[in-house]
Amino acid sequence: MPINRLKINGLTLFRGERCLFKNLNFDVSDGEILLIKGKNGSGKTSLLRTISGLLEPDQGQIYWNGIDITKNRHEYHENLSWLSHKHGFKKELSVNENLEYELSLRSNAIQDFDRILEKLSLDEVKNRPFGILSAGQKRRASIARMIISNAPLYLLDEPASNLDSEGQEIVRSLVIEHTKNNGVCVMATHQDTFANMTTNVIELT
Amino acid sequence: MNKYLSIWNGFTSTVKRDCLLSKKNLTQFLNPLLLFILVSASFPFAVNLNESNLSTIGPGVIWVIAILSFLLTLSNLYMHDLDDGCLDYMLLSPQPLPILTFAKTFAHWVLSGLPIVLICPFVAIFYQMELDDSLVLALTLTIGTFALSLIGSIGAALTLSTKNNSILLSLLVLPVTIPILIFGAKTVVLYQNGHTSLSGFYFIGAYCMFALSFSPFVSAAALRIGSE
Repeated sequence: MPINRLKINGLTLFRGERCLFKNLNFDVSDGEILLIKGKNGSGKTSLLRTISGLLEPDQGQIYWNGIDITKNRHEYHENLSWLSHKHGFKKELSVNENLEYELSLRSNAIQDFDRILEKLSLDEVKNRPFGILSAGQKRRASIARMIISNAPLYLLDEPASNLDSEGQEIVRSLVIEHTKNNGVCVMATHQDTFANMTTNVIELT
Repeated sequence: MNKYLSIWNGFTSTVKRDCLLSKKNLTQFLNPLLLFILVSASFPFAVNLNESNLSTIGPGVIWVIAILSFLLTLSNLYMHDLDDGCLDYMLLSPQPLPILTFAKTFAHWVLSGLPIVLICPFVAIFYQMELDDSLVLALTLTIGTFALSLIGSIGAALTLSTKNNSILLSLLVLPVTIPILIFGAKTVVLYQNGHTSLSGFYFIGAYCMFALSFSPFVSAAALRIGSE
């Protein structure tokens, strides 16, 4: 019996007249990594946003551990960590200040995040304003938030974008470690780095 | 108990973060306040009125300028969060969204409304207003600007998905602020003339409480729709 399970049932999403995906069914259990593939504009990000609850599907349901996410949104979001194109950090605040804010919103977050920043080579820039960091450092800061949230479900949209090979390897090992600890991971990426570690693949056309 | 503590943490940390942001971005905070001071202070020089007439029109003029300078700040309430992606994280936060929108609205009032309230007794000197009259004016502005923040939060959330939303936002919010303007200014004039001004306070107080009862929920719903 899996501890954590994401189940998608008959998911359909239209954007205007265009159908991005129709009657999509899949489930991902703990220890599994689902890769969403597809061309630019095929709806990968929209699918992730729908799974997260940011977009309302036209049809279908999303279940987290057997409960419809619309029935218990707060608990679902407590269990969800989201990594998207936009960093979601305030550029005027330091990495530390941004992460402390995130920490204050979550009850199960990792309180001591210095070691995480060290692992992501952010310890030297943690007190600098987020706006002056390089694109790669910004991505690493987003990944730090993802880890700090301590959530069992990772939804990752192009997790390795703007990262050098060392950064990509860190993300890869983090995802593996996460799934080993009963985590669930759904990611959309073009990077081949992640292709050989995924359990299931969905291709959107 | 832990749940309520966590909600309180979410509220206070959002208010603190927005105040910290404002501290690091002083121009955005100071511009509307400077506009309020400059326009209010220069108005008496432009009109040729005697002392008693000036103190009679003072409350109304100060109220109008306060509302207009306050409206300038509204469009930024959620716009920066949409641009930098913080809105997505706010929507995906385990905290109840109405609490976070209320925290942002409260921070907006602290940063935009409260400075106007604190500065208005000094601005009232230009209008030859008595000290107690200017304190009554400050009190009406305290309640009135908070109500405006609450109503403005709904407008800012509703117009989030439109580009250059400032004009649309003003058109939406301004008609709703007219009752506050009328009763806010009238309360001070009643006090100046020696009448009881309690009825005015009751009205703007009730208006504020009414706005408080639904604004966080409507703003949260509008943000969910706007972010799609």
